[in-house]
Amino acid sequence: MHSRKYNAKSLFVGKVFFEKLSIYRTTNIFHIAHGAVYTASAYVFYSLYVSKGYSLLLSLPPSLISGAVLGVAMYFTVYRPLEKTNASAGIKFISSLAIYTFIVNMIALIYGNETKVLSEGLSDSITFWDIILTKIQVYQFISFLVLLVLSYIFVKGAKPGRAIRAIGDNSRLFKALGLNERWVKGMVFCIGSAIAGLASIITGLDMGIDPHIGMFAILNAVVAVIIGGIKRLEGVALGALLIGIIQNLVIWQFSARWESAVTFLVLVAVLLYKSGGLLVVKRRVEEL
Amino acid sequence: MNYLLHILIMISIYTILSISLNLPVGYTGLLSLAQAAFYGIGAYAVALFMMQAGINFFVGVVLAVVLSAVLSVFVSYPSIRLKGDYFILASLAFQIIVFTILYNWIDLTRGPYGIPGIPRPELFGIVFDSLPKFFALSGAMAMGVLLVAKRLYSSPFGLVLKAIREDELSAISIGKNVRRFKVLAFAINGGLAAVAGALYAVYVTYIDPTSFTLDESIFILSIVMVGGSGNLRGPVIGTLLMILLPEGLRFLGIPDSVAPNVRQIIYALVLILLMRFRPQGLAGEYRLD
Repeated sequence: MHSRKYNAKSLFVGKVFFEKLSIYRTTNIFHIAHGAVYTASAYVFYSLYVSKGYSLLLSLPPSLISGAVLGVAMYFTVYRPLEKTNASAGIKFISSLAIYTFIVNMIALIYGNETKVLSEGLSDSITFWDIILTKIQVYQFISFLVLLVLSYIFVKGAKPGRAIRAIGDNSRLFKALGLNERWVKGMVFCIGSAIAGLASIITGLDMGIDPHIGMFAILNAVVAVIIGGIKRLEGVALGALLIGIIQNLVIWQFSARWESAVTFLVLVAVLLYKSGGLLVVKRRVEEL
Repeated sequence: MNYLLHILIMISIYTILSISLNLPVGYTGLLSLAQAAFYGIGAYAVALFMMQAGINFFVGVVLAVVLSAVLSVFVSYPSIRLKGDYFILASLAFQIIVFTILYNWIDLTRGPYGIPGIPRPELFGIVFDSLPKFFALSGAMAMGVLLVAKRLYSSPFGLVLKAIREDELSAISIGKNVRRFKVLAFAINGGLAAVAGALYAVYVTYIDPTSFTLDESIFILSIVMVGGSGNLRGPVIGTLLMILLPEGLRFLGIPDSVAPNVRQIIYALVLILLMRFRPQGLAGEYRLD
């Protein structure tokens, strides 16, 4: 029970921040293929850490880098050409689904469909009062907090963060001012994908991996982002927390079987009554 | 011969699914990822009507169509005002909720065990139990759906849908209730998809939730995207291609263990290339814009 709570939270660790907040905000692409990046990074990590037996610290960077490269490659080979032809959101969405299918099936072809274990045996546990946590879960929680703070600083403060927000607000003006849109979007995909990789590896260490983990993670992240509100980082973090708590209440009070049904009912309810998410940014009419 | 008949039956079932999805996608521009949910509702409804209530298949189909159409309103009525990506999400949510119910409401659906021994359909003493007879039935139903769709597309109703697709504001300005038309189009989609589900249930005689997953919805949407939407030709061509392609792979001697993955990879590549170079699909009339 307790373990689930922290899993749920950590699941959204990276996805949350960049899935919508940056990738969706800057590119308007409903990036389902992010789930494929998530899966792929975990499998690269598996090859290095389990198959080759390298240490954790040695295996982590190449896995994250390959995730980032994959994400950037997706942007430049598929999305960028679509943007040039002014393709609609629907077309980008279908393309994204197709990339996801392509990569996940490639992975299944290479590694097989069965679940792989990333870390052997039971890990040490730590007890606070009556809460029992494994070490991995503590790492998950810490990385969640660190990433939350880092991305807050990044998006609010640093220059690239400002560029991301600027594109999200008005991409035409951004281009008109002679700023390099391609570079910023590429960077968003790069960072977002690396973080997705980190999230999948941290989660995978605890729960194991199979080729289909990406879809589950991405759907949860999307729900969290929409519940919280796309426009604000605080909203996204709130959404992730809320979804984690709701899912665990369902598991606790009813059964794990109804977890996804309740999650998506909540999504539908939020879409209907507060389609901007729980934390809405107030805007002037002419900005909408 | 039996192999050929089996493929023809599958083609007729998927033709019904793609033709019905064509209505919301190609005529109102609503991408739906809930098609497998309606397909599943049709299959389970007919199976349960026949086995629990002893209702004749053909009556059961009518009831399933009505049930599925009514349920579709639950998705479409509230979410139609949502734009683009959000409608997709709402339909996806419906898909996942329906799948979870099929999987977990064990008292009704037997959950993961599935429903075995679904009886064959019967009409005036004729039991459709052999492949040729069954093909006659499914073929006739697919033709029926095609005819209904053809009538529908050129009817005043279809023309209003086209008008909404091309320019929603203009349609509103001449007094058309856009929301009602979209809800109706989606209900017809749900109802027709249930026909396909009913056929599938009595053809395979065993159903379980794994036939009605999100992947299946994605597959059906890909059929419409590959073939193209907005006319009758597109979905039919898409169905033929997507059903026959994996059968072609069979003859290339790709081992069975990897065949499903190879098939998916090919589908995905075809879809990526089409979206890039021919977004209206092979024979479609409508570009998602």
